[in-house]
Amino acid sequence: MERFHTTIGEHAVQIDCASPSLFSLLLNEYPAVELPRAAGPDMRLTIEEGYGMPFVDYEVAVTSEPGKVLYRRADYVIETEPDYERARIRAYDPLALKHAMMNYYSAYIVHHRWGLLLHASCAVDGGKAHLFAGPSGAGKSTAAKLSYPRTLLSDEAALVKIAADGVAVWNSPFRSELPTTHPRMICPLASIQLLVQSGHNLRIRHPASTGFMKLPSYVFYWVHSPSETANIISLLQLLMGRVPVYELHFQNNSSFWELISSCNVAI
Amino acid sequence: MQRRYIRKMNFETVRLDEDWIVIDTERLMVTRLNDVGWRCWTLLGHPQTVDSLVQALRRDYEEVGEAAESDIELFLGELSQCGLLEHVGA
Repeated sequence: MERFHTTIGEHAVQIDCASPSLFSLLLNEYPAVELPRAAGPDMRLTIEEGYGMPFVDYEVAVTSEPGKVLYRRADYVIETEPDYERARIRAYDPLALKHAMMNYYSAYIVHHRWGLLLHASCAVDGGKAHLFAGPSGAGKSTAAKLSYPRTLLSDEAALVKIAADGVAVWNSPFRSELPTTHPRMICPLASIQLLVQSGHNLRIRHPASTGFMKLPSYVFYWVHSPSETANIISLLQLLMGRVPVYELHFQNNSSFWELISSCNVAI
Repeated sequence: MQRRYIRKMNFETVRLDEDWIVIDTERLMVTRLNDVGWRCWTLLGHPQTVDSLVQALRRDYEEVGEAAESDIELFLGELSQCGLLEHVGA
């Protein structure tokens, strides 16, 4: 069993893994860091291979038992303590492990009311972060690629910290195809775009209530229990009170940024 | 005798700008209400009929038109369809 430490968002993570192939994959995606001596990890993960079958679908069954919560998909299973501070992840292959890590981290940050992991790409313009959210195929990766040379904080799964004193996006290690360039970057969130691919550019601001109703479908996994749902509601309410949500119709070129950047100037 | 309605329990509510949002935390369904809808929702904490709601709204708001009864019936039907209301025995 080999061990290393890494950080995701502002959380220190300890990872133990007995599989050499998964260990090198993990080290590649989650760079090793030295934790300060006084600080223990926020979460302790044990990773194993050899579970289940190749990817079937995204359906995750969540069950609770005394002392643990289980997230089970055809190609992975997560067994976590109820406070999410220790978990065992068993995965079929690297894809399953990647999805399991996102599943676990999303549930962790909702449980601790730190923030949300959203199905969104995120680019930085003028020191502010702008999210592009949507279901699979809506254009998150396309918007990210069209945002070059702006720094990307995520290309499919955005880490959004939501607190009373502000909302910020942290660099996401959960990448689809565009690698991390600024692993320590954190930017205040200025806007959320719900994407619609179109023949023209148009940006329409939604009422906060519409944003509140639409955003839950872009949140990665959480346990559908009353307490966790209350956490989601509280986080979304804070988020909608601080960040505007727009519907963005965009052409397949970078001209949509004129609508976003000009808005920055007006502010 | 008019049908009486009461709202179900176990809902979270959130205020955002001019709207109220009612969240069914078990079924993860959300319903948006405007100010008048919210007033009705609070009144529905106790059993209400179409007439009792219309009378209350006429007390609270100056411009409640002739179509108020049919609007309220429609509104109660929609809330019932969303699973937010239940009927109360006479």
